Amino acid sequence: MLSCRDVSEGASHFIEGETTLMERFNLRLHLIICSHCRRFLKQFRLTTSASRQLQQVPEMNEETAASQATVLKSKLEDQS
Amino acid sequence: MTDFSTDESLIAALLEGSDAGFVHAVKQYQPSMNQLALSICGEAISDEVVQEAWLSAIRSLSRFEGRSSLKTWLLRIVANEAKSRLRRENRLTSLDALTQDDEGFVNRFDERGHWSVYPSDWHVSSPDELLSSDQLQQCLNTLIEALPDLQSATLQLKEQQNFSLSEICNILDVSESNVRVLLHRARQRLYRCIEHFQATGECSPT
Repeated sequence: MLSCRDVSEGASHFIEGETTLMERFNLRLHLIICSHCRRFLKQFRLTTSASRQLQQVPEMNEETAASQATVLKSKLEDQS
Repeated sequence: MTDFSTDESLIAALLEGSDAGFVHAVKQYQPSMNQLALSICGEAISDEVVQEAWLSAIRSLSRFEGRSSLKTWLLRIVANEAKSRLRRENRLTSLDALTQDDEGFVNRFDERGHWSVYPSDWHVSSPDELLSSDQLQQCLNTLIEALPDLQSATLQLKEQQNFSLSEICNILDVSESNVRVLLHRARQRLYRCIEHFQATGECSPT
């Protein structure tokens, strides 16, 4: 039987969807009787989705890339 | 315009010293490299780390065996460079410290493992609704930037760059079980930050 602590510690594992049938069964069983863990897991999922929208990797424009590439090539030539 | 759509064609161009190849490689990969370096070692030295990583990558490019994608290989070199910089300055956080129980969660359970401090209801149903508060976004961004090196890197590679857990262990040179824990600890910190904000309207101290 899973404890609430197990649900909390396993939350990432559960939401990544790599769980076994047995793990899913045990989790469901726990969630049926535990509203705290239902709420926790829902909000943990929400936390994860929200964090995906933050700190996106910016695109680099052509001019910046060109000037960085020039610096890089000249450094390589210095060293060879 | 030369086609650099495969790793092989781009690598061949870089080995020949093609200008267009260099521009393409920088444009394609450097944003990810910057972001990773930033998350591991911070703004002050991240540019230097990325530059060093490029130089050593290009120098060893002829030995690239294609066992991973070029991008994964480049990021692994960045992570390696960033970690050795921190190690030299005695600033690299130990994995033990990064994977130990989250202090904000351990005390929330009684001895039988039941919640003793119940999760509060945030009254939000979507990520967009949650992030509609600029102030909370700001809190979360500050927290993510303050997360320690490998915890921050793991979160960033997983959520922003969509790498799988096994690719992340390859890039960071950390076991898969540690990657799992690093990711979970980072998410727990974010959870606590949101929880605190929803209750008080303020950022939690990081």
